Amino acid sequence: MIKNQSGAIALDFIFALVLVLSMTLLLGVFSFSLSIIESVQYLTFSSSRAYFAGHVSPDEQKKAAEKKFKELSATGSYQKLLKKDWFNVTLDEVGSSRNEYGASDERDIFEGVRTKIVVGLLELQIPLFGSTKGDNPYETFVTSFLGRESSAEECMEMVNRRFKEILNLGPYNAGTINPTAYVSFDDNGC
Amino acid sequence: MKLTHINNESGQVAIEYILLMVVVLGAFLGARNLLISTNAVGNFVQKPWQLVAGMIETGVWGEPKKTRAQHPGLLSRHRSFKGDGE
Repeated sequence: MIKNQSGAIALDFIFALVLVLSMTLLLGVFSFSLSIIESVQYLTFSSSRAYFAGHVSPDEQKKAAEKKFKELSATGSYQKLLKKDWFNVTLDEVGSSRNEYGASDERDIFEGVRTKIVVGLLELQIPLFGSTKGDNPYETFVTSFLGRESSAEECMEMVNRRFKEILNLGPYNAGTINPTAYVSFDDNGC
Repeated sequence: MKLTHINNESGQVAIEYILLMVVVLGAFLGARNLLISTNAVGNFVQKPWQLVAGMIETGVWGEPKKTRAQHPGLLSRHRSFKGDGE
């Protein structure tokens, strides 16, 4: 007769241990991911702020945002935490994201920075129970839509257009004004 | 020829335990296969993630594809592009 039954609970224990450890690991990974996403929110906001500030042209404003994003991503803790296989963080859009959100009203501001995060860390292989991989990748977007100040290029376009429209006004259109005698310049911005 | 009785019964329990082990292992492997084939663990994480992803992107609990139309940036507001005096 086998009288020693101490091993009978072993299977149950192994099963429960794997389950509990897996759940703990999942919760830990979820919390860690949310913390990183919160940090990426600042990264996005900071890039959006760089994009917002006035510059020579809209292209330069875009470059300023990209530069800020690149610089911050390679700085301090970001450099250590944003590992591509764990958290793949990329600039999805710098500029207008109106189409993504179906904005039709010109008063809806979707001008800023949109960052894409793919959380590879959540794709876990849990022993005995299978993988956490699903139909969709673990990705999300972090956004910061602050708007954009007009650039010097756009300011000058506006100043030139205004000058032409002034010339086209009735009293000034008598041929007495020589348009080439004037130079356009912006007075304290737009 | 004289028939001999088997008096030693200790092996019966061992066979019973083996049968029980087969049943328990079978049930365990069946449950495991069911979990894997239905991607139960994947769904266990995927579904809450979709809700969280919606909240991260748009500030609304729900799948991002559905909640983009509810982004706070789309809320109606009063703003004028016309200057003072117009």
